[in-house]
Amino acid sequence: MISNTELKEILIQYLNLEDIEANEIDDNDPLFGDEGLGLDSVDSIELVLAIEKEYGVKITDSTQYDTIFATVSSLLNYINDNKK
Amino acid sequence: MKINLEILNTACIYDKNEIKELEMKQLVPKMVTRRRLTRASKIAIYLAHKVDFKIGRIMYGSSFSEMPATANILKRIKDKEAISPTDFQNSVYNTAASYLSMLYENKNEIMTISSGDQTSKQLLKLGAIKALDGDEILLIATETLNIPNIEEVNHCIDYLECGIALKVKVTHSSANLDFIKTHNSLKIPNSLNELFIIANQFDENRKNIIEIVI
Amino acid sequence: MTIKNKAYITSTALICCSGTNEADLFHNICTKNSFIKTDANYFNNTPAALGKIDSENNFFDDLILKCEELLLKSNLTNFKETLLIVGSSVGGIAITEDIYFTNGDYKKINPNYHNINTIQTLLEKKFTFLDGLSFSTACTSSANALGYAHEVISKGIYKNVLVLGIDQLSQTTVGGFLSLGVLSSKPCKPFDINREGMNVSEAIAAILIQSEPTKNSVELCGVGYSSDAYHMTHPHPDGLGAKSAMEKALQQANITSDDIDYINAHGTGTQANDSAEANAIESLFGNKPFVSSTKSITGHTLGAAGAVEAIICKLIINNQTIPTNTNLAMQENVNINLTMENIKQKIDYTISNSFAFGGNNCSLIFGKVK
Repeated sequence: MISNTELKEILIQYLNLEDIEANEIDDNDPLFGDEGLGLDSVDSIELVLAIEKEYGVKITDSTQYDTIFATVSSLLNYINDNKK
Repeated sequence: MKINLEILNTACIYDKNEIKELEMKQLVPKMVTRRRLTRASKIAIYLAHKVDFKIGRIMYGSSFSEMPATANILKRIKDKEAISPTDFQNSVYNTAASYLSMLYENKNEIMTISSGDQTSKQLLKLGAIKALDGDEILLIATETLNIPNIEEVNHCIDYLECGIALKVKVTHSSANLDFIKTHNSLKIPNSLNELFIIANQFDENRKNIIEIVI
Repeated sequence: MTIKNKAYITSTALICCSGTNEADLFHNICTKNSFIKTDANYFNNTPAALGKIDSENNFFDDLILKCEELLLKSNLTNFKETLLIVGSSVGGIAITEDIYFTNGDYKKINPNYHNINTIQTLLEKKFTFLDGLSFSTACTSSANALGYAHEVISKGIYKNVLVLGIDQLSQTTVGGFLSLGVLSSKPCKPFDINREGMNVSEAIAAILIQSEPTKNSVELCGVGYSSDAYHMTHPHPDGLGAKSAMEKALQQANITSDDIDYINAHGTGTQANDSAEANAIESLFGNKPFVSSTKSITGHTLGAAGAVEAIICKLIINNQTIPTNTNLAMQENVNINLTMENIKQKIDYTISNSFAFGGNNCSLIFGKVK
């Protein structure tokens, strides 16, 4: 099981987020769109690559991105459910 | 054909490895935008701010443009790893000009040229011909060559990060600057030569006018 | 801009995956005969449909041959009084790739055969030009080069301009577009509701633009530029930047949208481009001129696209024939007039669109010489 802090560190690293600590990213804030962290579609591809590299979890269906990447919690749950 | 350009403002910045203070937090407050900017984009934004240019036509030039992004892509291909889409979108030669356009919602004509060592010379000719239309135009050139192992192929450039901007307008007044004065012995990329020569002669206490021979 | 002289496309030469010359290409466009092929071995064992040139010559030898061919067709004996304008998005990157992937380091890379200026360097080994420069704005590179040719001729600065649209297939571009998820493993279906993405292709397209018309020349009547200022890889969904570029081209050509007989769309086959472009066309052209994308036959030749499609527009005007779309089964936007067959009709004006990363947009209008 990976922790939410660990996942947030991965987000910061792979998405080159600046001036932000893991503890400043809320588990339930939206990751995408201007209301949340402000990530975009290129970030979703980078995340797919990061998650495969770090956790061996593949996300092959791009129509699922919206659900899986909605918040840190939803992403965490997906990874923990699918990690071998 | 000869066209005289009045240099309204200039800005110049360079470092042997990495330019330190580009004021990015003030110039690009939105973090998710700022974190994606390439070195060349940051330099271009800094220079445009220094010459006080936000909206208008921009002519950008670079001989090697986004070397860091290109180097990352090539390395990943060689190592059989997935290419980063961020690197790919940031590897096009017009990357810096595009981020500058997006930052200020500048929807004008924005061109990028890349003519090797002649880049500055061609940029000045391009700018002069465009300036005949009467507007103030931003000319910017950058080189960002600070990639790992660049020394394998670089044997003559000391200043790996370099950028120059000129804000220009066409004029009928006589020239008082020229290209004869060579710049000092700083080994900046050749592609920035002519812009550097002009920037070094700029004096804010008078009009600065150069003749461009097309 | 004050226009002193008109600008005419007088001679051309071209090679791409679906034609080693203009006539063959036009024939293949009109007969829906595409040479875009799925290749699973080009990049990392991922299938991608690509448009590779089928030639016994090395790519850069073909560059020289095509310029020689153009010179022979033209009224010039050499290029000494000609300005060279190259439009390329990756220049010599494939040369660098060969060296770097073989050796694993940069030591044998020649900087003069890596960047965009590689093309001019290679041409200057064989030809002498009055002067030269290269535009590199991703997929609008040679469209912008043509735009500048129009400008320098219109302003009376040059009488002859050679525009060279050129991009070679490379691991960087194929892998790069794959990484963005916009590459299709099948030949593309521009404007189709089920389109799956673009096909990266290569091409060399040489165009001579002069201040005097010749037999079969067409006029480059107007150019429009704009920037989306929106996103590096996504166009504005409503096609605002695209619309602005087309409007400015019409303004410069001194015609209205009703005067356009045919639109050669950028039409790459990606979700984002085709919907934005269709929106822009729908919003600007109330008269519903015919629209097609020829990228289902040529593929997306990246920096060369503007020049390739300018040559196609010249052929359309010369033949007074609007080419069909290929691979289009069900159009997503039903409010634009995508043609499903070749149409012979009077054609006075065509408009050709090119849109690029960074939101760079260029529209070119070509007209029958009156």
